[in-house]
Amino acid sequence: MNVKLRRNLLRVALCLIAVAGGFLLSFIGMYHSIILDNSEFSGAGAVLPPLEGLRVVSEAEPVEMSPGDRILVSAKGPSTTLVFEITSPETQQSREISYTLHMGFKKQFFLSVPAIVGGEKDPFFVE
Amino acid sequence: MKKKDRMHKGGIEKFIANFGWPRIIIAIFLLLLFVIAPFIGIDVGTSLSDMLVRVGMNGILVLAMVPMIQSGCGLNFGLPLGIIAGLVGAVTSMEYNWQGLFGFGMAVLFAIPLAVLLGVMYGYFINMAKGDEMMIGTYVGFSVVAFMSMMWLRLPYRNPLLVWGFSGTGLRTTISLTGFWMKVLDNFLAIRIGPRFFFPTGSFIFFALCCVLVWAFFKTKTGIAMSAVGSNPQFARAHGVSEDRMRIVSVVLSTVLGAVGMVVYEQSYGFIQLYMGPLYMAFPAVAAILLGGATINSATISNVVIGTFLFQGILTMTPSVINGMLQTDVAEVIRILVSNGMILYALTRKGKGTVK
Amino acid sequence: MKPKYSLKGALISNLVPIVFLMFAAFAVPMSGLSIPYLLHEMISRLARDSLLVLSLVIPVLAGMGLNFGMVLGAMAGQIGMVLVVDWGLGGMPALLVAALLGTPISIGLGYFCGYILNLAKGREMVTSYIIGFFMNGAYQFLLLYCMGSIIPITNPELLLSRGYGIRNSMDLPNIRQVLDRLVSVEVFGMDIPILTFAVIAVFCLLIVWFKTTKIGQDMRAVGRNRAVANGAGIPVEKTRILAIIISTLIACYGQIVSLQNLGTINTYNSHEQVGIFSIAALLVGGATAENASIANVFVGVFLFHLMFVVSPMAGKNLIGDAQLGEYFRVFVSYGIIAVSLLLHAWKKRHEMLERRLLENDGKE
Repeated sequence: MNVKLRRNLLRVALCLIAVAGGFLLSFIGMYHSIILDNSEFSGAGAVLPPLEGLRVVSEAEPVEMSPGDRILVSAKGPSTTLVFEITSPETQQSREISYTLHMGFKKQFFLSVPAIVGGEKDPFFVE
Repeated sequence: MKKKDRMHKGGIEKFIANFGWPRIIIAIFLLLLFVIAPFIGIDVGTSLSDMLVRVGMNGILVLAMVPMIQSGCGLNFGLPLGIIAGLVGAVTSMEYNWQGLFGFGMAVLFAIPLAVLLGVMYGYFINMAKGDEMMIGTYVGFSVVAFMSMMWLRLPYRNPLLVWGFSGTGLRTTISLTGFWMKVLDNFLAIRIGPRFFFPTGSFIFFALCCVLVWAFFKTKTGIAMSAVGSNPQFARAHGVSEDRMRIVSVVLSTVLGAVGMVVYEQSYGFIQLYMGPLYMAFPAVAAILLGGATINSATISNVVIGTFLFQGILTMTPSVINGMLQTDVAEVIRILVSNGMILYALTRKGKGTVK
Repeated sequence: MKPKYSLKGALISNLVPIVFLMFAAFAVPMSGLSIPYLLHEMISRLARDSLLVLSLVIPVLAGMGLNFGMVLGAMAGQIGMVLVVDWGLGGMPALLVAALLGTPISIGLGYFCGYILNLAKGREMVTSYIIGFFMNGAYQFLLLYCMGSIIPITNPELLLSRGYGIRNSMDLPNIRQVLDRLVSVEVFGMDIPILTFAVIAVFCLLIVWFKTTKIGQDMRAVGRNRAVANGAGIPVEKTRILAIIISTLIACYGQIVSLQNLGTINTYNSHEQVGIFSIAALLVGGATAENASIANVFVGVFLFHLMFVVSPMAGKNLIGDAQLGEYFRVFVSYGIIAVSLLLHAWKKRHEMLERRLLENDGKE
């Protein structure tokens, strides 16, 4: 193999590595905004009512959500785990549900909390 | 054989070689703009008078480049020194509330001695830094502008129309010439055709007068010696011409022309901009003379006139035509690209443009 | 012949830093600012600007003077930053991606700048200065008219209200000081950004190492005498282009480091000032257009920024006018460039005349 060809191959390889590295870094370092909505969700199965006594733990500060609330949390990286703590107002018993969201390169997600807690397969909603 | 071939080449090619490609392209471009203009609803009369007013306004500042180029000092990036002198002259004349042509004349009279003083100082700097004149000029100019910014705050001007109202001291950033000598030259013997066309006769007469004076100066003994210093220093030295002295004279002349040019600029513009206003004013003037076909070491009056017309033409026509066509305002970007592109072209021309 | 060490010689060759030190000794007490505050500011500013000033060292080595074209690198860094912000990246990955994006842009711009400077030998400084202005026009055109219309921008918050063109300024909340804060040590209540200084140290070492390589030696030869270098078979023009490319690249990374420290971008102003301030800082540090060392960089950044922080307050306390102090520091930054260039040009001329005189003596 002559020197020129080898050099050029090396250069192309380096460029490809740079591009791949860029993609990987973007994958890791991208901030996504997740809009969480705690209002009535009508999915494929049933109509799910909004939740009371809800607390959301995300990458930022934990936030309390009343029924009808809508909040924006931002999350970094390819995936994030949201933890929902629901304390029943009557029995004072609480349960925790964690939900892992794979975000990829998409910038914005609209999620319905009642749908996640109710175990819906498709908890996304459209604006 | 080759020599013969070259001789047989047509007159057109020779003309192009003399005239320079960039100038031809820009001239054609300007012509094109004037042709397109009526079709997109731009009034040619207004544009033409805009252009003429701006030629009268900027002409002498461009002329101020000639002496220094001719004496081998390169492009006068230190023009702000002259401009500062012009500003001081104007402000002083206004301090005494002098109006009309008299006010204008007094502004010029106040400006000239200061310009001579600054020019001598600048000339010494230029002589200290042979070979690096342009860079030094730029920064000496910038320094003086910044220094004068401090002075504008402190100088004892008291006319309430000039200073900040609340404190009573410190000159305003922008001072209007309304009621002083706004457009006295522009309106002198001005020709108006129809509602839109306006020819600023006075400014043109004054510009022409300055051009003739500079042209005549270069026919005198001193003028010839100055050109000799620029084009052939050894020859000049052999004939007993003091190179350093000639260079200082050329710098003084450039600075004085810059000062007069600034007063003319102000009367036409209608406002005086102090503080950091004059910082970049050398660049359009430099670009204009280069557009007119001057190089770093040779410039003629015709370069000045052609350059000013072309440059101001492009500056007035491009924004309005492009606005008409695309509804965007790219005037600033085009001004930056054309003027600096022109300077770059001149700096990179091989062989000819060597400053010794 | 090696010059003997003498106090007088040392004083003369370090005249500019000494004058500034004296000025600082006078102005610091006048300003009434506390020493801990000043120290904190200086550390922050050293972290912010050293890399940018460092970018000027290599072209000086190659005899091309002070590379005003470093603003092209700053532009490249800013373009990378704008794109990264638009894509919603944050943290260290964002800085790395911005650097990755800036790299090919700076190489391209550096090549362009070097090519033009080869056409204007002997006038490199003015020419690179004008290239900076010219490319600023192109940069404005790109960001003000192309981004959001031809180049897709997904985040509407970055755009002007008319629908295309990037806004005048943007905050970098997810990028602000990520490099500075990643590894930092607290000493006497001051955060010292260890990692930033480590990055700067790496570039310093790279420059020192580069000077010892074959190409680095060639560059020095080209800087000393082009004709001799050419005769020795060194590709002069190629070497000069390489020097400018390296300078542009370091300036690009320097701008990215500086922006993460500031946490905001002034889209159309940040880079313009960079050239002037960096060059003034290097000259204050005792460098000339023909000789610049890494020590000059740090001394210069320290003294220049000390003056920068202190003079408005000193002006206010001394004359009772902060605006005056503001103009004073503008005056000093321009003035220092003018005076150093002037002194340098004068010295160079003097040496040349003396050499000529010596040669003539030799002939007789």
